[in-house]
Amino acid sequence: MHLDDERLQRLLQGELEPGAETSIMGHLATCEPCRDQLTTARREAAEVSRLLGFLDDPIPRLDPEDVMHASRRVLGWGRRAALVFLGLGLAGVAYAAPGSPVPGWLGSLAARARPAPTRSAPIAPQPRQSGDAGAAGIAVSPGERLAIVLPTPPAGASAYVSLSDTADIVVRVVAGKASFSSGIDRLLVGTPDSTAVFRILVPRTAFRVEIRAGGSRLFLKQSGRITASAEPSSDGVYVLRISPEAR
Amino acid sequence: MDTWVAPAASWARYPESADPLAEPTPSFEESFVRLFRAHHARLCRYLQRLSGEPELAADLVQDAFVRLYRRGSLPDAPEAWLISVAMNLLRNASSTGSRRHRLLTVARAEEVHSDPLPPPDEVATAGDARRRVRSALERLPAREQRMLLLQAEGYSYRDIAAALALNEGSVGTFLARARRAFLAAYGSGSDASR
Repeated sequence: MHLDDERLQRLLQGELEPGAETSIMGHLATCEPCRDQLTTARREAAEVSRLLGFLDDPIPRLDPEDVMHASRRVLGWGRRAALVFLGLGLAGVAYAAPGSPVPGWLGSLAARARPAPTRSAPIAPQPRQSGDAGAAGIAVSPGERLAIVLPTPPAGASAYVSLSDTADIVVRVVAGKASFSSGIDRLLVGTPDSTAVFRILVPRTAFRVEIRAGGSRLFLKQSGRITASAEPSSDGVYVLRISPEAR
Repeated sequence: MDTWVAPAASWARYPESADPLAEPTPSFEESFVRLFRAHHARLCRYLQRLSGEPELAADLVQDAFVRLYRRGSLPDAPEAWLISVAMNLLRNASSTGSRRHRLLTVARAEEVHSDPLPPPDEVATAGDARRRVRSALERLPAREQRMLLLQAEGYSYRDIAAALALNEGSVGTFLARARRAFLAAYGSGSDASR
C-alpha cells in the first residue's frame, strides 16, 4: 500500500508518531512511486517556502518587558475608568431614587457653600498584621516607580535585596530599629542604628524601583534590567552596604 | 507625607512561598517572557503575510501578548491561544478599520528604514514577485491560506489543528492540497502575466 499525503507530509515535517518512521522508511526503500511522491512533496514545500518569503517585511523589535509594562498600564486605566463609571452610576441612582435624601443634602450643601480648609492628608501605608513579633517592616505598592531612600544612613547598616513574586515591595527590619515615611513615589527609611539590617523584596513585575542611601544609588531595577552597587550572590541576593560614604 | 513607625510586634508575616530563595518553579512572568521570545517574531510574520499590513500585524501581535499577560496565567496551549486571539483581532481590525496604539513606533520606523536599499531593478523584481505571490495566496480559501502560513512558521500540526478547528489527523492532507493549489495559482498568474 502506497503512502498517502498525510503520511508523506508528516514525514517531511517530523510529525510522525513514534515508531512510524521506521516502517515508512522501509516502504520507501522498496517503492519507487512513493519515493517520487516524497521528492515532489519536498520540492513543493521548498518552493512554497521560497515564494512566501517575498511577502516578508522587517519584524519590529519589541521587548517582553515593554509589553508587560503596557499591560499593567492599560489595566490600571481600565480599572480607573470602570470605577469612575460605577461611581457615577451609583450617584445617579441615589439622586434619582424616589424619596432619596441626596437631593436635599446637595441643596443644603449648596446653601451653606462655604470654603472648607483644604488639607490633604497623605495616606500612610498600613502594616499587615500578624503574629510575627520578631521583625518590623512595611509593604508598599511599587506603582509606576518607587524610590526607597535612606537620607541619613549610619555607617555599618546593610540591606539584602532580592526579587520576589509578591505584588508589593517589602522592606523588613531584620535587626535594629527603623521608621518609615511614604510619599507618592518614594519610601523614606530612617534609622539611627549602625547595626540595622534590612531585607528588601522587590517584585519582579515592578517597572522601576530604586534604592538610594545618602545621595548614592545602590540599586536600580528598571524593566528587566538591574544595576546594583554589589554583584548578586549565587542565590540572587544583592548584599548592599549602606553607609554615608557609599558612592 | 505621613510618618509611621513600625512597631516590632505588628509586622506582617509573608507566606513562605513569597521568599524568592524558596521558589524553584518559574513564575508566570518568566514563562511569559520565554513564550514571547519564542513566538513574537513568528506570529508577527504570520500576520504580516496573512494581512499584507506589517504595521497592523505588529500592533495586533502586541495586543495578543498584552491580553495573554493580563490573563495572569498561561492557557493549556499558549501557541494556539495566541494564534486564535491574533486572528480574531485581525478579523475585528479588518471589519472596523481600527488601529491600535503602538509601543515602539519610533524604534520600529528607525529599524525599518535603517536597512540599506537594494538596487532599483531588484526592488522592481521583488515587488513584482510579491504581488504575484499575494495574488496567488488570496485566491486560496481562507483556511488554506492560514494553514500554509502557519506551517511555514513551523507551528506544529497540533497547534495548527487547534487554531483552525481541524482534526489533527487531517492537517497533512489539507496542507498538501493547499500547497498544490497555491503553486497552481502562482503558476497560472505567471502565465497570465506573460
